[in-house]
Amino acid sequence: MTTRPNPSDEQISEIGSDASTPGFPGFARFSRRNMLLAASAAAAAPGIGADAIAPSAAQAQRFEYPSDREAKSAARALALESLLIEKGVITGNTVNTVLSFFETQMGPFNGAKVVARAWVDPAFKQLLVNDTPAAIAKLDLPKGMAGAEGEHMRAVANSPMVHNLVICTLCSCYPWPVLGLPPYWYKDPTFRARAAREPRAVLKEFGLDIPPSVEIKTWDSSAQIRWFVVPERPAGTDGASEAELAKLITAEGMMGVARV
Amino acid sequence: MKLQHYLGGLEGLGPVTFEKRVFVEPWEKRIFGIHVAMMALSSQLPLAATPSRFNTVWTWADLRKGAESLNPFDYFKFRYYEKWLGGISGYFVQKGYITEAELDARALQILQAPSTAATQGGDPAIDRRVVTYLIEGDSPKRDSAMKPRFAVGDKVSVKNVPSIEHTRLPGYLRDRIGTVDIVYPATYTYLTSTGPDGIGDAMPVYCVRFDPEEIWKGNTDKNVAIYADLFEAYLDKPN
Repeated sequence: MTTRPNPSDEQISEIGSDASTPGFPGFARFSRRNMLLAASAAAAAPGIGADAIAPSAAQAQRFEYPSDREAKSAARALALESLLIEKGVITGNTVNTVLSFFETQMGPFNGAKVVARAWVDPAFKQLLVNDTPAAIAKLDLPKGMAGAEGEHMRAVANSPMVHNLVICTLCSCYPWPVLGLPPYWYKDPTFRARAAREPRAVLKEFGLDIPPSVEIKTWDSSAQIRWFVVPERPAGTDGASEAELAKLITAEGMMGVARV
Repeated sequence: MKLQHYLGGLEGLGPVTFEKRVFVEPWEKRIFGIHVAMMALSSQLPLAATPSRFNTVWTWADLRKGAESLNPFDYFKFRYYEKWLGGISGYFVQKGYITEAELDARALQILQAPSTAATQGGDPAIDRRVVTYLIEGDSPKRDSAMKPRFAVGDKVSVKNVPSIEHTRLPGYLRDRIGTVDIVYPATYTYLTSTGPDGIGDAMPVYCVRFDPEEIWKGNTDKNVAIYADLFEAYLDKPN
Protein backbone atom coordinates (compact mmCIF):
# COMPACT_ATOMS: atom_id res chain seq x y z
CA MET A 1 0.00 0.00 0.00
CA THR A 2 1.38 3.34 -0.97
CA THR A 3 1.62 5.86 1.81
CA ARG A 4 1.52 9.57 1.42
CA PRO A 5 2.73 12.33 3.68
CA ASN A 6 0.26 13.58 6.24
CA PRO A 7 -0.91 17.01 5.30
CA SER A 8 -0.97 19.57 8.08
CA ASP A 9 -4.24 20.17 9.95
CA GLU A 10 -4.66 23.38 8.04
CA GLN A 11 -4.38 21.52 4.76
CA ILE A 12 -6.83 18.88 5.92
CA SER A 13 -9.44 21.53 6.64
CA GLU A 14 -8.77 22.97 3.22
CA ILE A 15 -8.55 19.87 1.07
CA GLY A 16 -9.71 16.93 3.16
CA SER A 17 -7.86 13.64 3.40
CA ASP A 18 -7.41 12.38 -0.09
CA ALA A 19 -7.28 8.62 0.24
CA SER A 20 -8.32 8.19 -3.38
CA THR A 21 -5.08 9.60 -4.76
CA PRO A 22 -2.23 8.14 -2.69
CA GLY A 23 1.11 9.72 -3.40
CA PHE A 24 -0.47 12.57 -5.33
CA PRO A 25 -0.55 15.56 -3.02
CA GLY A 26 -0.46 17.82 -6.06
CA PHE A 27 -3.84 16.55 -7.13
CA ALA A 28 -5.58 17.35 -3.90
CA ARG A 29 -4.99 20.98 -4.73
CA PHE A 30 -6.57 20.61 -8.14
CA SER A 31 -9.45 18.40 -7.43
CA ARG A 32 -10.40 17.88 -3.82
CA ARG A 33 -12.47 21.00 -3.47
CA ASN A 34 -14.47 20.13 -6.57
CA MET A 35 -14.91 16.59 -5.37
CA LEU A 36 -16.30 17.77 -2.04
CA LEU A 37 -18.62 20.17 -3.82
CA ALA A 38 -19.76 17.35 -6.05
CA ALA A 39 -20.31 15.03 -3.09
CA SER A 40 -22.35 17.57 -1.17
CA ALA A 41 -24.43 18.40 -4.24
CA ALA A 42 -25.08 14.69 -4.80
CA ALA A 43 -26.01 14.17 -1.14
CA ALA A 44 -28.50 17.02 -1.34
CA ALA A 45 -30.23 15.32 -4.25
CA PRO A 46 -30.38 11.60 -3.51
CA GLY A 47 -33.36 10.88 -5.76
CA ILE A 48 -33.46 9.81 -9.36
CA GLY A 49 -35.85 10.69 -12.17
CA ALA A 50 -36.84 14.33 -11.83
CA ASP A 51 -33.84 14.95 -9.59
CA ALA A 52 -31.40 13.28 -11.96
CA ILE A 53 -30.11 16.62 -13.09
CA ALA A 54 -28.54 17.20 -9.67
CA PRO A 55 -25.92 14.41 -9.85
CA SER A 56 -25.04 15.49 -13.35
CA ALA A 57 -24.54 19.06 -12.13
CA ALA A 58 -22.36 17.62 -9.39
CA GLN A 59 -20.39 15.74 -11.99
CA ALA A 60 -19.96 18.89 -14.02
CA GLN A 61 -18.54 20.61 -10.95
CA ARG A 62 -16.22 17.73 -10.35
CA PHE A 63 -14.79 18.11 -13.82
CA GLU A 64 -14.50 21.85 -13.60
CA TYR A 65 -10.97 23.19 -14.01
CA PRO A 66 -9.66 26.17 -12.13
CA SER A 67 -9.08 29.14 -14.43
CA ASP A 68 -5.43 29.31 -13.42
CA ARG A 69 -4.88 25.63 -14.19
CA GLU A 70 -1.88 26.06 -16.48
CA ALA A 71 -0.27 28.87 -14.49
CA LYS A 72 -0.41 26.72 -11.36
CA SER A 73 1.05 23.69 -13.08
CA ALA A 74 3.80 25.79 -14.63
CA ALA A 75 4.64 27.27 -11.24
CA ARG A 76 4.71 23.87 -9.55
CA ALA A 77 6.90 22.37 -12.28
CA LEU A 78 9.37 25.26 -12.04
CA ALA A 79 9.27 25.18 -8.24
CA LEU A 80 10.01 21.46 -8.27
CA GLU A 81 12.86 21.81 -10.78
CA SER A 82 14.42 24.67 -8.79
CA LEU A 83 14.22 22.81 -5.48
CA LEU A 84 15.75 19.69 -7.04
CA ILE A 85 18.65 21.77 -8.40
CA GLU A 86 19.19 23.52 -5.06
CA LYS A 87 19.19 20.19 -3.23
CA GLY A 88 21.72 18.64 -5.63
CA VAL A 89 19.37 16.07 -7.15
CA ILE A 90 19.71 17.40 -10.71
CA THR A 91 21.66 20.29 -12.21
CA GLY A 92 20.56 23.54 -13.80
CA ASN A 93 21.26 21.91 -17.18
CA THR A 94 19.67 18.50 -16.67
CA VAL A 95 16.22 19.16 -18.10
CA ASN A 96 17.63 21.08 -21.07
CA THR A 97 20.12 18.26 -21.68
CA VAL A 98 17.25 15.77 -21.87
CA LEU A 99 15.18 17.98 -24.16
CA SER A 100 18.08 18.67 -26.46
CA PHE A 101 18.79 14.93 -26.69
CA PHE A 102 15.26 14.36 -27.97
CA GLU A 103 15.52 17.25 -30.40
CA THR A 104 18.75 16.02 -31.99
CA GLN A 105 19.44 12.35 -31.16
CA MET A 106 16.17 10.48 -30.58
CA GLY A 107 13.24 11.41 -32.75
CA PRO A 108 11.07 10.54 -35.75
CA PHE A 109 13.91 11.77 -38.00
CA ASN A 110 15.65 8.45 -37.21
CA GLY A 111 12.61 6.32 -37.95
CA ALA A 112 12.13 8.20 -41.21
CA LYS A 113 15.63 7.19 -42.33
CA VAL A 114 14.98 3.57 -41.37
CA VAL A 115 11.72 3.44 -43.35
CA ALA A 116 13.20 5.27 -46.36
CA ARG A 117 15.99 2.69 -46.53
CA ALA A 118 13.39 -0.09 -46.34
CA TRP A 119 11.56 1.47 -49.28
CA VAL A 120 14.63 1.49 -51.51
CA ASP A 121 16.26 -1.76 -50.34
CA PRO A 122 14.03 -4.87 -50.17
CA ALA A 123 16.74 -6.93 -48.43
CA PHE A 124 17.00 -4.26 -45.73
CA LYS A 125 13.22 -4.26 -45.34
CA GLN A 126 13.23 -8.03 -44.88
CA LEU A 127 15.95 -7.75 -42.24
CA LEU A 128 14.10 -4.87 -40.56
CA VAL A 129 11.03 -7.04 -40.07
CA ASN A 130 12.98 -10.19 -39.11
CA ASP A 131 15.62 -8.62 -36.87
CA THR A 132 14.82 -4.97 -36.26
CA PRO A 133 17.87 -4.05 -34.11
CA ALA A 134 20.29 -5.66 -36.60
CA ALA A 135 18.78 -3.68 -39.48
CA ILE A 136 18.82 -0.40 -37.56
CA ALA A 137 22.45 -0.98 -36.54
CA LYS A 138 23.41 -0.99 -40.24
CA LEU A 139 22.42 2.66 -40.65
CA ASP A 140 24.47 5.69 -39.71
CA LEU A 141 22.20 6.93 -36.92
CA PRO A 142 23.04 8.62 -33.59
CA LYS A 143 24.27 6.53 -30.66
CA GLY A 144 21.49 5.05 -28.55
CA MET A 145 19.36 3.22 -31.12
CA ALA A 146 19.05 0.37 -28.60
CA GLY A 147 18.88 2.81 -25.71
CA ALA A 148 16.04 3.96 -23.47
CA GLU A 149 12.67 2.64 -24.68
CA GLY A 150 14.36 1.11 -27.71
CA GLU A 151 16.00 -1.88 -26.04
CA HIS A 152 13.63 -4.28 -27.81
CA MET A 153 12.04 -2.74 -30.87
CA ARG A 154 10.15 -4.61 -33.59
CA ALA A 155 8.99 -3.30 -36.94
CA VAL A 156 5.86 -4.53 -38.71
CA ALA A 157 5.34 -3.75 -42.40
CA ASN A 158 2.12 -2.67 -44.07
CA SER A 159 1.16 -4.36 -47.34
CA PRO A 160 -1.80 -4.17 -49.72
CA MET A 161 -3.52 -6.80 -47.55
CA VAL A 162 -2.46 -5.78 -44.01
CA HIS A 163 -2.51 -2.49 -42.15
CA ASN A 164 -0.72 -2.30 -38.79
CA LEU A 165 -1.66 -0.05 -35.88
CA VAL A 166 0.38 0.37 -32.69
CA ILE A 167 -1.33 1.17 -29.39
CA CYS A 168 -0.64 0.97 -25.66
CA THR A 169 -3.87 0.50 -23.72
CA LEU A 170 -2.18 0.52 -20.30
CA CYS A 171 0.06 3.59 -20.68
CA SER A 172 2.09 5.13 -23.52
CA CYS A 173 4.90 2.72 -24.52
CA TYR A 174 6.61 4.16 -27.59
CA PRO A 175 9.88 3.41 -29.45
CA TRP A 176 11.89 6.47 -28.39
CA PRO A 177 15.07 6.00 -30.47
CA VAL A 178 13.23 5.88 -33.80
CA LEU A 179 10.14 7.94 -33.01
CA GLY A 180 11.06 10.21 -30.12
CA LEU A 181 8.28 11.03 -27.70
CA PRO A 182 4.63 10.06 -28.06
CA PRO A 183 2.22 12.72 -29.36
CA TYR A 184 -0.90 13.51 -27.35
CA TRP A 185 -3.31 11.46 -29.46
CA TYR A 186 -1.34 8.30 -28.65
CA LYS A 187 -1.54 9.00 -24.90
CA ASP A 188 -5.22 9.96 -25.02
CA PRO A 189 -7.31 7.49 -22.96
CA THR A 190 -10.05 7.77 -25.60
CA PHE A 191 -7.70 6.63 -28.36
CA ARG A 192 -6.31 3.84 -26.20
CA ALA A 193 -9.77 2.60 -25.28
CA ARG A 194 -11.33 2.79 -28.72
CA ALA A 195 -8.44 1.64 -30.92
CA ALA A 196 -8.55 -1.78 -29.24
CA ARG A 197 -12.22 -2.48 -30.09
CA GLU A 198 -12.87 -0.37 -33.20
CA PRO A 199 -9.57 0.46 -34.91
CA ARG A 200 -11.28 0.91 -38.28
CA ALA A 201 -13.64 3.55 -36.92
CA VAL A 202 -10.80 5.37 -35.13
CA LEU A 203 -8.58 5.34 -38.22
CA LYS A 204 -11.46 6.74 -40.26
CA GLU A 205 -11.70 9.66 -37.83
CA PHE A 206 -7.98 10.19 -38.40
CA GLY A 207 -8.67 10.37 -42.13
CA LEU A 208 -7.52 6.86 -42.98
CA ASP A 209 -10.20 4.75 -44.61
CA ILE A 210 -8.94 1.17 -44.58
CA PRO A 211 -10.96 -1.01 -47.00
CA PRO A 212 -12.86 -3.90 -45.35
CA SER A 213 -10.76 -6.38 -47.34
CA VAL A 214 -7.55 -5.16 -45.67
CA GLU A 215 -6.85 -6.83 -42.34
CA ILE A 216 -5.99 -4.51 -39.46
CA LYS A 217 -3.42 -5.83 -37.02
CA THR A 218 -3.40 -3.92 -33.76
CA TRP A 219 -0.32 -4.26 -31.56
CA ASP A 220 -0.91 -3.52 -27.87
CA SER A 221 2.49 -2.69 -26.32
CA SER A 222 2.08 -4.36 -22.95
CA ALA A 223 5.55 -5.82 -22.21
CA GLN A 224 9.13 -5.22 -23.42
CA ILE A 225 8.59 -4.75 -27.17
CA ARG A 226 8.27 -1.28 -28.64
CA TRP A 227 6.50 -1.63 -32.02
CA PHE A 228 6.60 0.62 -35.04
CA VAL A 229 5.14 0.40 -38.52
CA VAL A 230 6.85 0.43 -41.91
CA PRO A 231 4.21 2.18 -44.02
CA GLU A 232 3.84 1.49 -47.72
CA ARG A 233 5.82 3.60 -50.10
CA PRO A 234 3.48 6.13 -51.70
CA ALA A 235 2.73 5.93 -55.41
CA GLY A 236 4.49 8.41 -57.66
CA THR A 237 7.78 8.47 -55.75
CA ASP A 238 9.80 6.31 -58.11
CA GLY A 239 12.32 9.01 -58.92
CA ALA A 240 12.75 10.19 -55.31
CA SER A 241 16.05 9.78 -53.51
CA GLU A 242 16.27 8.08 -50.11
CA ALA A 243 16.72 11.49 -48.46
CA GLU A 244 13.66 12.88 -50.27
CA LEU A 245 11.63 9.84 -49.25
CA ALA A 246 12.65 10.28 -45.61
CA LYS A 247 11.10 13.74 -45.63
CA LEU A 248 7.68 12.22 -46.42
CA ILE A 249 7.64 9.94 -43.39
CA THR A 250 5.85 11.06 -40.22
CA ALA A 251 5.57 9.70 -36.70
CA GLU A 252 1.85 9.15 -37.39
CA GLY A 253 2.73 7.04 -40.44
CA MET A 254 5.08 4.93 -38.33
CA MET A 255 2.35 4.29 -35.72
CA GLY A 256 -0.20 3.35 -38.37
CA VAL A 257 -2.67 6.24 -38.05
CA ALA A 258 -1.72 8.08 -41.24
CA ARG A 259 -0.80 7.19 -44.76
CA VAL A 260 2.51 8.49 -45.99
CA MET B 1 -10.75 -3.50 -10.29
CA LYS B 2 -9.24 -0.29 -11.53
CA LEU B 3 -10.79 1.35 -14.55
CA GLN B 4 -7.31 2.34 -15.73
CA HIS B 5 -6.48 -1.37 -16.20
CA TYR B 6 -9.61 -1.88 -18.31
CA LEU B 7 -9.40 1.00 -20.77
CA GLY B 8 -9.21 -1.25 -23.85
CA GLY B 9 -12.72 -1.49 -25.31
CA LEU B 10 -14.36 1.08 -23.04
CA GLU B 11 -17.38 2.52 -24.84
CA GLY B 12 -19.15 5.84 -25.04
CA LEU B 13 -16.08 8.05 -25.15
CA GLY B 14 -16.69 10.06 -28.30
CA PRO B 15 -14.15 11.14 -30.88
CA VAL B 16 -10.39 10.98 -30.40
CA THR B 17 -8.51 14.26 -30.24
CA PHE B 18 -5.89 14.08 -32.98
CA GLU B 19 -3.39 16.32 -31.19
CA LYS B 20 0.00 15.68 -32.77
CA ARG B 21 2.08 17.74 -30.37
CA VAL B 22 4.11 15.94 -27.70
CA PHE B 23 3.84 18.86 -25.27
CA VAL B 24 0.96 21.32 -25.31
CA GLU B 25 2.28 23.61 -22.56
CA PRO B 26 5.93 24.62 -22.03
CA TRP B 27 5.92 23.39 -18.40
CA GLU B 28 5.20 19.84 -19.58
CA LYS B 29 8.73 19.68 -21.02
CA ARG B 30 10.18 20.41 -17.59
CA ILE B 31 8.38 17.58 -15.80
CA PHE B 32 9.26 15.20 -18.63
CA GLY B 33 12.94 16.11 -18.26
CA ILE B 34 12.79 15.59 -14.50
CA HIS B 35 11.26 12.13 -15.00
CA VAL B 36 14.01 11.07 -17.42
CA ALA B 37 16.66 12.33 -14.99
CA MET B 38 15.08 10.32 -12.17
CA MET B 39 15.07 7.16 -14.27
CA ALA B 40 18.71 7.77 -15.24
CA LEU B 41 19.85 8.48 -11.67
CA SER B 42 17.78 5.66 -10.15
CA SER B 43 19.88 3.72 -7.67
CA GLN B 44 19.39 0.22 -9.13
CA LEU B 45 21.09 1.04 -12.47
CA PRO B 46 24.66 -0.22 -12.98
CA LEU B 47 25.91 3.22 -14.05
CA ALA B 48 28.79 5.27 -12.63
CA ALA B 49 27.94 7.03 -9.36
CA THR B 50 27.49 10.81 -9.52
CA PRO B 51 27.32 13.53 -6.87
CA SER B 52 23.52 13.62 -7.29
CA ARG B 53 21.63 13.34 -4.02
CA PHE B 54 19.11 11.07 -5.72
CA ASN B 55 19.57 7.73 -3.98
CA THR B 56 16.28 5.90 -4.41
CA VAL B 57 14.61 3.86 -7.15
CA TRP B 58 12.40 5.50 -9.76
CA THR B 59 11.32 3.58 -12.85
CA TRP B 60 8.39 3.54 -15.25
CA ALA B 61 6.71 1.21 -12.78
CA ASP B 62 6.62 3.98 -10.17
CA LEU B 63 5.17 6.47 -12.63
CA ARG B 64 2.59 3.94 -13.86
CA LYS B 65 1.63 2.93 -10.31
CA GLY B 66 0.87 6.56 -9.58
CA ALA B 67 -1.44 6.87 -12.58
CA GLU B 68 -3.05 3.49 -11.91
CA SER B 69 -3.78 4.42 -8.28
CA LEU B 70 -5.57 7.64 -9.22
CA ASN B 71 -9.26 8.07 -8.73
CA PRO B 72 -10.51 7.06 -12.20
CA PHE B 73 -12.36 10.36 -12.59
CA ASP B 74 -9.09 12.18 -12.03
CA TYR B 75 -7.40 9.83 -14.48
CA PHE B 76 -9.69 11.09 -17.22
CA LYS B 77 -9.79 14.63 -15.96
CA PHE B 78 -6.09 15.34 -15.90
CA ARG B 79 -3.96 15.66 -18.98
CA TYR B 80 -1.06 13.22 -19.39
CA TYR B 81 1.67 15.45 -17.95
CA GLU B 82 -0.60 16.75 -15.20
CA LYS B 83 -0.66 13.19 -13.92
CA TRP B 84 3.14 13.13 -14.12
CA LEU B 85 3.46 16.41 -12.23
CA GLY B 86 1.24 15.12 -9.44
CA GLY B 87 2.93 11.73 -9.21
CA ILE B 88 6.52 12.98 -9.40
CA SER B 89 5.97 15.83 -6.92
CA GLY B 90 4.32 13.35 -4.59
CA TYR B 91 7.29 10.98 -4.84
CA PHE B 92 9.83 13.67 -3.94
CA VAL B 93 7.73 14.67 -0.93
CA GLN B 94 7.11 11.08 0.14
CA LYS B 95 10.80 10.21 -0.06
CA GLY B 96 11.80 13.29 1.89
CA TYR B 97 13.78 15.11 -0.82
CA ILE B 98 11.51 18.13 -0.43
CA THR B 99 8.57 19.02 1.77
CA GLU B 100 5.14 19.81 0.47
CA ALA B 101 5.28 23.12 2.34
CA GLU B 102 8.43 24.27 0.53
CA LEU B 103 7.04 23.18 -2.82
CA ASP B 104 3.82 25.12 -2.16
CA ALA B 105 5.74 28.16 -0.94
CA ARG B 106 8.06 28.16 -3.96
CA ALA B 107 5.18 27.69 -6.38
CA LEU B 108 3.33 30.61 -4.79
CA GLN B 109 6.44 32.76 -5.03
CA ILE B 110 6.74 31.92 -8.74
CA LEU B 111 3.05 32.64 -9.34
CA GLN B 112 3.54 36.06 -7.79
CA ALA B 113 6.70 36.74 -9.83
CA PRO B 114 6.15 34.84 -13.07
CA SER B 115 9.51 35.80 -14.57
CA THR B 116 11.33 33.72 -11.95
CA ALA B 117 14.02 31.59 -13.61
CA ALA B 118 15.09 28.15 -12.49
CA THR B 119 18.13 27.88 -10.27
CA GLN B 120 21.41 27.16 -12.06
CA GLY B 121 24.52 25.16 -11.22
CA GLY B 122 25.36 21.57 -10.33
CA ASP B 123 27.91 18.92 -11.24
CA PRO B 124 27.98 18.05 -14.99
CA ALA B 125 28.69 14.40 -14.12
CA ILE B 126 24.98 14.18 -13.26
CA ASP B 127 24.00 15.24 -16.78
CA ARG B 128 26.55 12.88 -18.32
CA ARG B 129 24.90 9.96 -16.53
CA VAL B 130 21.50 11.06 -17.81
CA VAL B 131 22.78 10.97 -21.40
CA THR B 132 24.51 7.62 -20.79
CA TYR B 133 21.22 6.17 -19.59
CA LEU B 134 19.40 7.42 -22.69
CA ILE B 135 22.04 5.87 -24.94
CA GLU B 136 22.44 2.57 -23.08
CA GLY B 137 18.88 2.00 -21.92
CA ASP B 138 17.91 -0.57 -19.32
CA SER B 139 17.10 -3.87 -20.98
CA PRO B 140 14.95 -6.31 -18.98
CA LYS B 141 16.25 -9.22 -21.10
CA ARG B 142 17.93 -11.99 -19.06
CA ASP B 143 19.47 -15.24 -20.18
CA SER B 144 17.89 -18.05 -18.28
CA ALA B 145 17.62 -21.82 -18.35
CA MET B 146 13.86 -21.43 -17.97
CA LYS B 147 12.06 -23.13 -20.85
CA PRO B 148 8.98 -21.44 -22.29
CA ARG B 149 5.82 -23.29 -21.31
CA PHE B 150 4.08 -22.54 -24.63
CA ALA B 151 5.02 -22.76 -28.30
CA VAL B 152 3.95 -20.84 -31.40
CA GLY B 153 0.42 -21.89 -32.35
CA ASP B 154 -0.57 -23.00 -28.84
CA LYS B 155 -3.91 -21.85 -27.49
CA VAL B 156 -3.50 -20.04 -24.18
CA SER B 157 -6.01 -18.73 -21.71
CA VAL B 158 -5.32 -15.46 -19.95
CA LYS B 159 -5.55 -15.61 -16.17
CA ASN B 160 -7.55 -13.12 -14.18
CA VAL B 161 -4.74 -12.45 -11.71
CA PRO B 162 -5.28 -10.26 -8.63
CA SER B 163 -3.69 -7.00 -9.71
CA ILE B 164 -3.70 -4.84 -6.63
CA GLU B 165 -1.38 -1.95 -7.33
CA HIS B 166 0.08 -2.36 -10.79
CA THR B 167 -0.20 -4.72 -13.74
CA ARG B 168 0.96 -5.19 -17.32
CA LEU B 169 -2.07 -7.31 -18.18
CA PRO B 170 -4.69 -5.32 -20.12
CA GLY B 171 -8.09 -5.85 -18.51
CA TYR B 172 -9.92 -6.65 -21.76
CA LEU B 173 -7.79 -9.78 -22.22
CA ARG B 174 -8.51 -11.34 -18.85
CA ASP B 175 -10.17 -14.78 -19.11
CA ARG B 176 -9.86 -14.70 -22.90
CA ILE B 177 -8.34 -17.34 -25.16
CA GLY B 178 -5.58 -16.39 -27.61
CA THR B 179 -2.99 -18.06 -29.83
CA VAL B 180 0.75 -17.73 -29.32
CA ASP B 181 2.19 -15.84 -32.29
CA ILE B 182 5.76 -15.22 -31.10
CA VAL B 183 7.80 -16.79 -28.31
CA TYR B 184 10.35 -14.08 -27.57
CA PRO B 185 13.92 -15.36 -27.14
CA ALA B 186 15.33 -15.45 -23.56
CA THR B 187 13.41 -14.16 -20.54
CA TYR B 188 12.41 -10.73 -19.29
CA THR B 189 12.19 -9.14 -15.89
CA TYR B 190 9.76 -6.39 -15.02
CA LEU B 191 10.86 -3.19 -13.30
CA THR B 192 9.30 -4.14 -9.99
CA SER B 193 7.49 -7.05 -8.41
CA THR B 194 3.76 -6.66 -8.93
CA GLY B 195 3.07 -9.05 -6.03
CA PRO B 196 0.10 -11.37 -6.53
CA ASP B 197 -0.27 -9.98 -10.06
CA GLY B 198 2.75 -12.16 -10.78
CA ILE B 199 5.49 -10.37 -12.71
CA GLY B 200 8.94 -9.04 -11.76
CA ASP B 201 11.30 -12.02 -11.96
CA ALA B 202 12.70 -13.06 -15.35
CA MET B 203 10.25 -15.19 -17.30
CA PRO B 204 9.31 -15.94 -20.93
CA VAL B 205 7.17 -13.39 -22.75
CA TYR B 206 4.85 -14.13 -25.67
CA CYS B 207 3.09 -12.19 -28.34
CA VAL B 208 -0.45 -13.56 -28.28
CA ARG B 209 -3.04 -13.05 -31.00
CA PHE B 210 -6.69 -12.51 -30.09
CA ASP B 211 -9.84 -12.32 -32.18
CA PRO B 212 -11.69 -9.15 -31.16
CA GLU B 213 -14.95 -10.87 -32.15
CA GLU B 214 -14.42 -13.27 -29.23
CA ILE B 215 -13.74 -10.39 -26.85
CA TRP B 216 -16.50 -7.99 -27.93
CA LYS B 217 -18.96 -10.28 -29.73
CA GLY B 218 -21.00 -8.47 -32.36
CA ASN B 219 -19.54 -5.15 -31.23
CA THR B 220 -16.18 -4.80 -32.91
CA ASP B 221 -14.74 -4.05 -36.33
CA LYS B 222 -14.46 -6.91 -38.81
CA ASN B 223 -11.22 -8.34 -40.22
CA VAL B 224 -9.12 -7.23 -37.27
CA ALA B 225 -6.62 -9.10 -35.11
CA ILE B 226 -5.24 -7.80 -31.85
CA TYR B 227 -1.81 -8.76 -30.55
CA ALA B 228 -0.55 -8.25 -27.02
CA ASP B 229 2.81 -8.98 -25.40
CA LEU B 230 2.12 -11.04 -22.30
CA PHE B 231 4.36 -12.35 -19.52
CA GLU B 232 4.12 -16.10 -18.95
CA ALA B 233 2.72 -15.58 -15.43
CA TYR B 234 -0.44 -14.24 -17.05
CA LEU B 235 -1.04 -17.33 -19.19
CA ASP B 236 -2.40 -20.81 -18.66
CA LYS B 237 -3.39 -23.84 -20.68
CA PRO B 238 -7.09 -23.58 -21.62
CA ASN B 239 -9.39 -26.00 -19.75
